[in-house]
Amino acid sequence: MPRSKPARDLLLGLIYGVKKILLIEDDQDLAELYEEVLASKFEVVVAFDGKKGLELARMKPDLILLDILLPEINGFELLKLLKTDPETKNIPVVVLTNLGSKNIDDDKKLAMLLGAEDYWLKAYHKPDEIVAKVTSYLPT
Amino acid sequence: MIKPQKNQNPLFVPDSVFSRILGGNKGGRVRNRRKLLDEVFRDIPDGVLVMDLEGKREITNPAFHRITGLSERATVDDIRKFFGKNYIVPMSHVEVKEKTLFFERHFQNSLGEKVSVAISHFFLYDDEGNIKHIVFLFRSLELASESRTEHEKVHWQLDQAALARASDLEKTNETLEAKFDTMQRDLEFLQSRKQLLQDVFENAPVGSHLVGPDGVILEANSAQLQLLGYTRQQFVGHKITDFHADEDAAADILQRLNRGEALHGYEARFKRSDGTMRTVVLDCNVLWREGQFVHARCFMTDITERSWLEEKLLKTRKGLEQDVEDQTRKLRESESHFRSIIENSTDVITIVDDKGVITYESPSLRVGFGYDPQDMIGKNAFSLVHPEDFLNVMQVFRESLATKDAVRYSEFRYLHENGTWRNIECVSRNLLGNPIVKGVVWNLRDVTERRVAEKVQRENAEQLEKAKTDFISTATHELRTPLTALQGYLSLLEKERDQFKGKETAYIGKIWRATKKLHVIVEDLLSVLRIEERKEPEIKEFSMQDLIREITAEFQTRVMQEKKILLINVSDDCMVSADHEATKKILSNLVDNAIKYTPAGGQIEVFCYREKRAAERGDIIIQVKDNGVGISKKYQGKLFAKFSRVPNPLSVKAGGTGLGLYIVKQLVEMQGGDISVESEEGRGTVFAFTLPAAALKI
Repeated sequence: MPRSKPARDLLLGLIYGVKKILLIEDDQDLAELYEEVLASKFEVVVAFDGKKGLELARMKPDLILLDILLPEINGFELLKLLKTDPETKNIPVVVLTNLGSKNIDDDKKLAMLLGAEDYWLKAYHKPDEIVAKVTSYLPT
Repeated sequence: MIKPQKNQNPLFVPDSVFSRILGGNKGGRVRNRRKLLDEVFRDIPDGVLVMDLEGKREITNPAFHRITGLSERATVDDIRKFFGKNYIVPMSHVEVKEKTLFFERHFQNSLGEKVSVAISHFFLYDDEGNIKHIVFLFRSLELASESRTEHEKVHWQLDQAALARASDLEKTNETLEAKFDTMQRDLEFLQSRKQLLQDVFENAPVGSHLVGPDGVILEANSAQLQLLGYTRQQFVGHKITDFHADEDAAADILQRLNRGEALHGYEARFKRSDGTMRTVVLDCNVLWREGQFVHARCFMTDITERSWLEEKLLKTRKGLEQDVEDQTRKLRESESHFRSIIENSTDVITIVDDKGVITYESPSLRVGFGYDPQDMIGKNAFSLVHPEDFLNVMQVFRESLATKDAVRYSEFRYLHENGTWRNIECVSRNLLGNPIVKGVVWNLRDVTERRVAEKVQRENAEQLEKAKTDFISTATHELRTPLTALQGYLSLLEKERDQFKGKETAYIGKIWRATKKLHVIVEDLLSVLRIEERKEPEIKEFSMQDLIREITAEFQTRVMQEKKILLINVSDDCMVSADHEATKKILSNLVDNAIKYTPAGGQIEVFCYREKRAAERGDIIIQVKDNGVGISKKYQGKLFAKFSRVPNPLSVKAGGTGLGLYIVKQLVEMQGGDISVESEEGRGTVFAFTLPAAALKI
């Protein structure tokens, strides 16, 4: 059994058939918020930085929710890495960020170009909406 | 025999002798006299005819007969006949008294021969002095007569000689006379010349005098005397040195003259009779004969006034010279100043002709490009231009040639001597028409470093821009994050609503509303920030009617919830050339406002149509019309300003930031459009804005 809780949860999830979501988010409050809402339906693992995120991604979650403004490593860079690494490139990634605005498409375009499935702005969606969106990607 | 004698009377028998013979004079023996007479009378070669006053012949001698050919028995009438018209008729006493020397007569003798005789006559007187007889003497002039005696021949020859001499003498006389005449004429001429010269000498304005070897004045003309104010006596005969003002000058002059030197333009000062000084110029010529100084002819011109003027002129000239010197010095200084500028300036000055051939390179060429200025002269300036810039440079050059005095700016790359390319800024001026320059002047400046610096600066600016943008992005993100948490948890709380008591519900509600407001403010602020950062809109052509449809669709849910109606009224001819995103925001804002300020049951309508304008593209007009609360005229003026809000319970409730319309206006104007509002309190509002229409597609 892996020592760290997140890892353990992932493993359990794998065993029990629950979909695992990797949330890479540096803001603690938001991380806990999303974790709480998502935990009712999914197995949620949180990474607070890119390095950890990559590491946990190798555990092959079902979905990665990726923030862009991360310490040390840029979210886009991480996205690129995720999509080029053979171990992780098949995992769907959704960018969940506050970067940009509703009307600016550049970041969205870039994310899509790099291989993300979608691009959601946290500020514009209630947590329930986020859960709904995630559910649409992961049929249970 | 009686010798022929040279005397005035050609008759070689002297009168006195003959008179004595004929008894006129006393003296001599009578008997002998008669005999002598006969003999002489007989022998003389001249023919003698003695006639009395009546013309009767009294005596003739054999010579007479021989010469005339008349016989001794010839009568007076025969003689008359012989002489013919030449017969001498004894006239009155007066006539007869005339004595002649001889005169030539020509006759024909009895033999028919031509006879030439010289006839002379003289008179015989009685004791009372009355003429008793005329004696004619006839001398034959024939040369080749054999009957002549020797005497005759000799006499005749001598006479001939005498005659010839006489005629020669006459001729000589004539010649001499002629010569004399000529001489006379020459003399007259010379006289007149002398007169003229004297006149000239005398009346010349230039003083002239003659000086002997010891300096004594031999002659002077009136001008000379006038010049110095002396009379002839006071001047001529004195020593010239007496009149010199400077002893040394006087001595020098005399010395020179004595050496035979001519003086020209020799300035000296002389004393006038009144004691004043005159400055003169002396021109002297020496007459030298057989190694001896004869005299010196001197001309004296008064230049006292001239001298004074000259002095003044000299002063003025000195002043001018000084000025010129000063100017020249200044010029030289400024020239060296300019030269040092040109030489030390890092700018290179090149002068080319109309073909681009270099005629001058300033010394800084070496520093700037590494070439020797001298080497470049004669080369074509364009040969060092970068091939990619060549065409452009040629174009600019041709342009500058076309206009006199044209100033042109160009930039190109120029090959440095070390093989690198340098960026050059060139200002050229067409001075081909300028007579001094006669060329096109290029002022070249190496801006390679500057360009590099500019590039760096640009990159820095770009980086700064990027950083700013990044900041905005970061700011956005950072501001949103806590907001998201707030809103997120609030929504979760809302789900647990049922568990709260009224007080908590109310509190949650307030927090919720405040959070929403905060959210809007943050979004608006970020929008403003973004607008102020962004300068260039991204213009593209899109369908306005489609955008309207899209936006209004998003609001439909809310409109339905609030029991209002949202309509659209669009024409199909609303293609715009605008920034899609900005327009989306504009429309969203306006529609949002319209919905906000229209109470339930109200209607919001969105229009778009093409403005009709002849011959122009026209604009697309978009209107958002509502029949809501309206805006009073009082607030319409500042409606689009930052943070302006109409005090209105609805507006407060709606939670506007006051930035919405400001943002809208900025976005509209950024795209080249205009926005306006028409409204009346209680009667609704129409916001209208224009956007450039897309180009018509045929």
